[in-house]
Amino acid sequence: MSGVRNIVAGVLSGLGVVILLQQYAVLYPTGTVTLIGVALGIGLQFAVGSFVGHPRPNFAAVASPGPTTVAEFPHSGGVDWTEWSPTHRVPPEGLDAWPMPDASMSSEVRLDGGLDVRVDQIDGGWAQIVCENGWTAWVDLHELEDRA
Amino acid sequence: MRQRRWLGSLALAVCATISLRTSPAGASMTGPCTATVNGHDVASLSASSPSDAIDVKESDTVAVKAQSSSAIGEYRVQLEYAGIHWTVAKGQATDNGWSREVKVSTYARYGSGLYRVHGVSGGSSACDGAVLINVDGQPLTTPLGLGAVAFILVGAANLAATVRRARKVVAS
Repeated sequence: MSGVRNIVAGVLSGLGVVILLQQYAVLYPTGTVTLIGVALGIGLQFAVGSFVGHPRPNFAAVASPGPTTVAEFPHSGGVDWTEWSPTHRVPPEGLDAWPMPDASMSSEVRLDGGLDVRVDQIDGGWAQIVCENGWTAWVDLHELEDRA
Repeated sequence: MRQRRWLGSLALAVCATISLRTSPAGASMTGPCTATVNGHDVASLSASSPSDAIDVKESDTVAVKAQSSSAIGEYRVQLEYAGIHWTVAKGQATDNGWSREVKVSTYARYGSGLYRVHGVSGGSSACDGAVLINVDGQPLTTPLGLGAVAFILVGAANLAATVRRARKVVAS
């Protein structure tokens, strides 16, 4: 859904910029120039959606054996990760993760296969998992492998 | 995430491909003809460089003339915008030439700025010429200009919503 919204917004904003540049006699909008404008508009919408404001797991920190502090992981959601111990494991083929238990949102991250996680809470078929570095996400509960 | 990155990459690839295919501004006249627009020789002007655009006012009339060394048949005068052509005048040439006056206000009523005037004539020696005209005006008072601003605001609103939503997720 957000993908369609980004495409529509990108097309409109790209066209808007091209038309405004034409109106101010900065450039003449050939078909090629118009397509470039539209493509850049779409690209900007997706770039912002992907890289600005969305937390991503710090897998390097997951692999790191050294101690870490809560301050390093502002997205930990208040979980006391110092007592973290894994309860489940991501299946070998990996697993999509969402910032919220809402399937209408697009998946933000795909977790690596074999990653140990702790299930912190369950909401219907969703499980909120916590990685060793304190990063949290929602995944499909039924896809998780039980470590026991 | 992977889908978004894929779309972003696709957009950049399209840009790169299109950029490579874009030819530099060259001669704007082909065929054994001479043509003028408001007295300016079309052959000496680029059909894509804004600095070569012929300045006109919305109330002006653009005089388009063409002459050939051989017989010319039917001719058409077209306006072009964003790769889309539409015919604004057509007729039959006489004495190996033709001339036509086009009212700017009739065909550029929705906005100011750059338009491409395109002249095409048939006959034994077909000719094709194009030139940019710059219609003087206040962009933010024209339907096209206002529409463009509205489009940009839609994009900005979506970006703001995306950032706000992301912050909300982080806060939760």
